Amino acid sequence: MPSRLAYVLRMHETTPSIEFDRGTIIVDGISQESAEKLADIMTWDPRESVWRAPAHHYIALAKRLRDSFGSVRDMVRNSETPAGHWTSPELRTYQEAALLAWRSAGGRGLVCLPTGAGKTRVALAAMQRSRRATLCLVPTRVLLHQWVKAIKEFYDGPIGRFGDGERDIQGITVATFESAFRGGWWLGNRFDLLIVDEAHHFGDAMRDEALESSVAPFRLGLSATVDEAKAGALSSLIGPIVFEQKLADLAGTVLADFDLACLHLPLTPAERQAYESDYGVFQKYRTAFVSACPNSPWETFVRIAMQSPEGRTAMAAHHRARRMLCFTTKKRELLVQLLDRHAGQKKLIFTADAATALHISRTLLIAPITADVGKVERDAVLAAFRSGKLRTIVSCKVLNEGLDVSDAEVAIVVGGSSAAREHIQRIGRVLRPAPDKRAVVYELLAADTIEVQQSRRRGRAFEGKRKESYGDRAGGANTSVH
Amino acid sequence: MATGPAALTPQYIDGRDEPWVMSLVTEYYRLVGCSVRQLKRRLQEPLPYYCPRHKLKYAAAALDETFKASVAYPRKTILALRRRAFELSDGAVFAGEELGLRRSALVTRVCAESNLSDVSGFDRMLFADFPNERRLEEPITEPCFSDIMLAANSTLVRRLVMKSERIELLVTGHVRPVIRQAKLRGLISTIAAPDGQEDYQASIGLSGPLELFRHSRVYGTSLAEVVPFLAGCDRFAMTVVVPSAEDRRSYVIRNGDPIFPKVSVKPFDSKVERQFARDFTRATNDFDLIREPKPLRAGGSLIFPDFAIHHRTGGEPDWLLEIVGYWTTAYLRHKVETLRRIDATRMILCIDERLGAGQNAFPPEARIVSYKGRIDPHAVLAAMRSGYSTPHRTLL
Repeated sequence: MPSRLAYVLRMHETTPSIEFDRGTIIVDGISQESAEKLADIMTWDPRESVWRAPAHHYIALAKRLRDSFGSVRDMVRNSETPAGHWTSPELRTYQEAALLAWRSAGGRGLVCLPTGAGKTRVALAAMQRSRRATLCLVPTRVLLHQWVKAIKEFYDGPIGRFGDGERDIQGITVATFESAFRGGWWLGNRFDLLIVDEAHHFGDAMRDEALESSVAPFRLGLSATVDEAKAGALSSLIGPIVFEQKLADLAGTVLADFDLACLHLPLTPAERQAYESDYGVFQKYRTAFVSACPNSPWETFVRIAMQSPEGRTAMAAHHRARRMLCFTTKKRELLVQLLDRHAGQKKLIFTADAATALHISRTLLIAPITADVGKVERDAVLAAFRSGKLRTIVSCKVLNEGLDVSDAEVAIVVGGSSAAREHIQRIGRVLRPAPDKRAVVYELLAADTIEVQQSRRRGRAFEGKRKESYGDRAGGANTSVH
Repeated sequence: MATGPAALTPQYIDGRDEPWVMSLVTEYYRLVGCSVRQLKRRLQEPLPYYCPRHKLKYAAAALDETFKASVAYPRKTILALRRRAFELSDGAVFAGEELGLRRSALVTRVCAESNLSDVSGFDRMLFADFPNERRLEEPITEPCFSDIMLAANSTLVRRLVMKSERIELLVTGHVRPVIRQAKLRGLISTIAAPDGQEDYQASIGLSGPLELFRHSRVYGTSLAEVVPFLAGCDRFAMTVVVPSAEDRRSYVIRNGDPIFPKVSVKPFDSKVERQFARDFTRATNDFDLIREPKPLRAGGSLIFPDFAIHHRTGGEPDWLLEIVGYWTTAYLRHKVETLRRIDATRMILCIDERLGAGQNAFPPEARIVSYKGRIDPHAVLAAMRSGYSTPHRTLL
């Protein structure tokens, strides 16, 4: 037998091999005794009689096998170096520092920068410098197209799209979270670098499989804000926070400075009566529930409420009250005045739900950007906004994250949730820097209703900036801002 | 298989639910012409009759399919109207006190430019193409309770399976399409001869690879897509294992349960099979292709070949052919070893090069035909003639 063949056969007998299989790694060619030493990282799969490990443990697994056996037949990665050429993106000092911190952390970690501070630019530089097969994960279809456009500015090769009806995989590919979640099990070994935009969406086990089923050794997460509760899980999936700058650190320097005015607007007598009536029904049921089951989360409350006629009546009353608060008479009046006052500036209106966004759009004939608006129309609206043809856009959630609406100066928050992250992201939309720019953010609140508590909860990060204004007249409320 | 006392039966909609289901149909008829958003709001409010909430959503899902929501105007016209209205209005409508008057003047202008004679239709047309603004249409045929019941129960089972971590099946008759569909969708299927269940031909477990480490919803859709193929089986009992916050629940679904609206068994499971059957019969007159031959017993498990290739003169034993779905080198090695162990020497494996994750060559002793999208019948005939030592083709 030729010596080369004998050598290969001997290798097959004594060397363990690892292979990618549908989002996992199969380990072959090791004895039971050796396998048990690696039981913390891989598990016996009786369904196919193999040892199996989650794909994101690839590097650790390969290292442990190499340490134990001296060598390992590695058939896991199937990535191709991107064919195109990169031009180097220009970075600001803090962006360069963020990139350096990420590289120093072994190419795994989270970079936390506020909206408008250029997170995408950091990611592009990471891709350009590493020149590896890269998968960019983004939360929405809108951002998928925006990322493709951003990459095209610096990379001349083909860019794959995985999501929004497309399944084109290239050396550089952009995918939506949902598509990566559904298709990660067969994409997992084709990329070496993962860029995770708005990384705070992961870490709660809902769609973590998109990251778990990838073998990519290098991972860069981008976010404006990361919950402490999720930091541990994200550290395992992407890496620890390696660089962080808060909005307050950059506002007035890198980002535009801003004023935040919270305008408390009274309900009309009819609205007040309807609100008290509906909210009273809900409150009565809620109080009884809380006294019976203290500390139960909201989700449990809703689940239990929906099981009884009284509970359903209470929830229906709650929905009616919330719907009414979304766009009260005074909010409508003040909104018209604010639009008039800032007629020459670019404005973004944020609402609590899509129905209110469409109602405002229909009443005031303002272009909406909601999930229902198709890509072509959305792009046309954003292009018209950038060119100045349109100066106002109304949106619910689509504009909250990532979407580039560069020179907006005024944000009018007609309604929203109590989530601080959403609020920070919305404010960030108007903080993209421009010479002599000072942005204005208005929060329109229905006075003496649950909206006030919600606003306080979400606005804790801006305590020093908030200027509260109470009054019947919008003009009076506004005077204190300017 | 968990069919013990802990196993539950899904709460199907049945004859006892007819009164409230038909009242719901009346409610849908009332809302014909209204928007989907209005319908959703109506369903959030308490209805004037008792209906179990957990069943209502499935009945509503079935009725949503019956009462289609349509766009009443051409989409192109709507888009043009919207674009013009927003362009003209920006900065103009809200300037000044007389908002209403200005808006009317602008709407009249947009309607005139768009050749829209009915100015009052502007508001209805503005977002008419958005999913929630579409209008409910009256169905062509009046919905009957049994159709709604079957559709609603199918949705119930589908959603149950989508939440499950695995399903366990006891099946008889037309088993192969179920296994094949599971494999095509990347699921792991364990197939065994049923233990102490004489009525069934095979016991099959279906789950996803990641399920070994934690519960994942990634495979929910794939698992649910396999369920309709059970309609073609002569007999089945499916146990769906659903993890909840506290524990796991098992639901049992059997043939005869009111879930399948209609049974249609497709002659072939995939395009590849259909094409191969057509190409092979054209390529040779010496052999007949027989679909779904008897399964082979391999120790405790079963192997389901896709075709038996039978010589017309009957002078030689049948060949068996299996079209392998997703594969890895380890899987192929295991498969070939199993075939050798049971002495299945006349078995041909057809392997789609695009569905392989491995980077290694095929096991040298295997009778393998690789293909890309379409199996070449001449390659199969050549593989039948060839010896073991020369695989027809290697991947890399």
